[in-house]
Amino acid sequence: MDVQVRPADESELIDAIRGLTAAGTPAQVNGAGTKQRFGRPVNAGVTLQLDGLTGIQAYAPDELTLTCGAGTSLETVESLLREHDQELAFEPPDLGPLYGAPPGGATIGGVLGCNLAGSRRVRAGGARDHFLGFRAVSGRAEAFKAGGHVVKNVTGYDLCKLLAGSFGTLAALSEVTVKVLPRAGRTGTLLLPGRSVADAVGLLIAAWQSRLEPSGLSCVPPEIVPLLPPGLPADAGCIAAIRFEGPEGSVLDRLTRMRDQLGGASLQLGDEQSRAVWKALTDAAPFADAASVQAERPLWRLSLPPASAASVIDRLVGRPGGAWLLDGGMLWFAPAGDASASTEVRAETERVGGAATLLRAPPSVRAAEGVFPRQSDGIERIAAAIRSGFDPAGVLNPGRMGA
Amino acid sequence: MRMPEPDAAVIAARAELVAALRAIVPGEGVIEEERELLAYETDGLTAYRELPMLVVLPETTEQVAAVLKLCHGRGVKIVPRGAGTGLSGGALPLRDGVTLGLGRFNRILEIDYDNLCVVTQPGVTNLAITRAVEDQGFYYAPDPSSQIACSIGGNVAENSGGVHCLKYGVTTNNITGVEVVTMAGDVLRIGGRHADPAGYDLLGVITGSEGLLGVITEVTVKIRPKPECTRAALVGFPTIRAGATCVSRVISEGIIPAGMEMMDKFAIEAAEAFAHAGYPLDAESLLIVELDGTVSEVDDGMARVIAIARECDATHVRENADEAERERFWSGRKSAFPAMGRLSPDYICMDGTIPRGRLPDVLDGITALSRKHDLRVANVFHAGDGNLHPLILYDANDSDQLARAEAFGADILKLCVAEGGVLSGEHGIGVEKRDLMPTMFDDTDLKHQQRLKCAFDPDGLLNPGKMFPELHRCAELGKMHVHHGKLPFPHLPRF
Repeated sequence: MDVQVRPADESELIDAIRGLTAAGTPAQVNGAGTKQRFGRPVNAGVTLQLDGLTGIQAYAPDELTLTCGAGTSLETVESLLREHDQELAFEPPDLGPLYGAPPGGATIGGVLGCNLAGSRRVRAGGARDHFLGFRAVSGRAEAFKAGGHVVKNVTGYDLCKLLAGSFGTLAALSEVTVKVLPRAGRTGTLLLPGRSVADAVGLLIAAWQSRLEPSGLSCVPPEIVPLLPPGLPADAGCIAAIRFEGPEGSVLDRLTRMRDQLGGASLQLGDEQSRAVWKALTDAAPFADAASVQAERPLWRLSLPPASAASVIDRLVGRPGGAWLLDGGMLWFAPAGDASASTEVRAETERVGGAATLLRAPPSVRAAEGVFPRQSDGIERIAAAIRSGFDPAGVLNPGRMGA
Repeated sequence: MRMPEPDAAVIAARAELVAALRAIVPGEGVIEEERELLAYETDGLTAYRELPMLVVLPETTEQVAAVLKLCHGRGVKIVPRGAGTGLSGGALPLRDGVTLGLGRFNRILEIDYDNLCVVTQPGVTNLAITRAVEDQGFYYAPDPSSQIACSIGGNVAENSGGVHCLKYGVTTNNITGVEVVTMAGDVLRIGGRHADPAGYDLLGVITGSEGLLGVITEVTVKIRPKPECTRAALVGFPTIRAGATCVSRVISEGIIPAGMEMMDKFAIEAAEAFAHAGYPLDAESLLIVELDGTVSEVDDGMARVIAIARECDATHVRENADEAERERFWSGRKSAFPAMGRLSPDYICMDGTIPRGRLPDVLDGITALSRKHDLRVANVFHAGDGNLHPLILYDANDSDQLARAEAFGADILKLCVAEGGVLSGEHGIGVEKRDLMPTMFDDTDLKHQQRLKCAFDPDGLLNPGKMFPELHRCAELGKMHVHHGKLPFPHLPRF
């Protein structure tokens, strides 16, 4: 990257994008840039860095809303919320370390722009579901807003959904409003070890269908156990891990009842160990080892109909082989060796109606094989039309999401 | 209500269009007789009526695609319609338009318990989904009060809410896939049975798009296990402010009730007279607080809610003793609308959202507006999420009263926006609030919204006249503007 532009407020952001459009120069658009290598490589000589747009503008705990500069660090937001016993219920993951960024560097705008949610996705929804409103500057160098500052709103199109997961290809966020919720009190985990993949997934589905409201459902294969924080048994076979959160009495009650309902050998993790383990699962930490980061070893994230996970794991591990971890309906998969195995992974995911994203790979692989799943021609046409409506000159992250 | 100028050429070619539509949808699926068209002249917003040019009732996605392609080719406008229960006039017909009714899409296609979802056609009612899965202990969470009649496709189009959406979200948070047909006749399958598919979130933008982006022909909804325990408390307060304070305290102490409803004195009296729900008639405000979850969690939460209520000077606190009593608590709230129907020949139900902390002041403002417009108003709210439903009482036979009621409603919504809120919490914009959009959004905001429309329907044939007060040509919106605020085509229709 030759030039870095780091606006300090929205009017500087407008000027920056006006400059880009006038010169016809595309830019790589980032929050703090921790996930810069998520997406197809952007061929741009300019980086538009949004982490200067910081500051909490409004936070009313009893309104369940928070408004802040889009470049505000996630850590700032989360520590403020913690002071008021609240949190972002979608449990934003910290994926920066998968790309070699130091932990804790992400911005709130970056998390929303990539639409990232953690293990609690199964219960609380995704980032998109907690994104209430924004101000942004489109590729037309015009500031606009959408949504609102209240938790319930159907006024106009839901452009928050459009910008969540748009990877900065439509507009640069300058301010965001998110829904916040009371912090889950205690955390406890039921571990059911020594299971086959199919059994473990079956147990997770049964837990999901139960009235006990689990907030994390993971299947951990034995080779991943040593890469997670301590507490998980190093047995042969997979571990079905089921998390409960809430008031202490309720967590203990549900752990016991779930154990009795599912039967078989089990053990439990207390609050502290549970928090550490689920943080590592949410962040896909087992795939952030130095060697993999250095080599940008291909790492896939498959969004699956949850009940199909066992068959997908079975077939992918049979061919092409590799390491995996199931977190809710999200399957992390690192193929054996340094292959991306794009053909197999995409075919296998499409077979069950899911979506596969090549979250990490060397730039040449991302450029050649694409990162996001192929869409139907009809959807591609609409997406292209949306892009040209919001960014007609193609200056914001062109190509990052695809053609 | 000004609607787009009817296209005389389209109306003149009506007979030809009927023949072409009949070739696609045989039998009684094409309606042209005035006496039958009358059934479609309005939706749940009965103040506005218009006879559609034609009504077509296709049965398959292929038929929908063919109808849209045909109309697209002939420049004929389409108004999609679910069950016709919408409260913002989203299905108000056009004199030169074809109303496309989805009523025949009335089958549930698949129940997939392993993936906790149901795949359904759009004409199935909201409640029918829960009915189909409740014997296995599941339900579909969003519960608009019209749930017996409203269709799931309409719920998606309007992003409908209900009393339980503070905890469980609105429609957009409870669906994972749709099949949509564009105005050009392309069939798009968006999402599926998995969360967060990559690519632009077209599922998210279709939801709540009020029939302006595409016609929904299939929906995949999430279902949830029914909570083990549900309990409600009825709490009366000596003032509105005390009730509002209680709502805020409950939430700031970390309790998210499944539902938290509030009524003012007029609404309490009307509902009690109608439903005999056991409401305290001496209260100035009444809360129904409902908690759900496991037994231990509900026990714990309810004890805390009641302690907070007493600290907020509650004068009446009653937990339901049994399921019948819980239903009675709700019967009053759910009959608030018909109860108003007994007190007044007509009423309109408004739908703004405000930051909850502004509730007492906004209510004072509504009382002042009631005097100004000389019309009575009863207030019911989804208090947990700050969604107000003032019910304005008037007599439609008195044109002055109708005009005053509309002005009163507009003033309430402007007040909501001025207090940091929004024009609609769950009913949508439609024609009802269309002309108020500029109170919340400036020209640049609205143009960016319309650029989304242009990506789906560049000719503006799908449900025009709804949501936006001004029609921009897509070709014009596509050009780059460096300067703000100027209206390049002052002669364009504004309505």
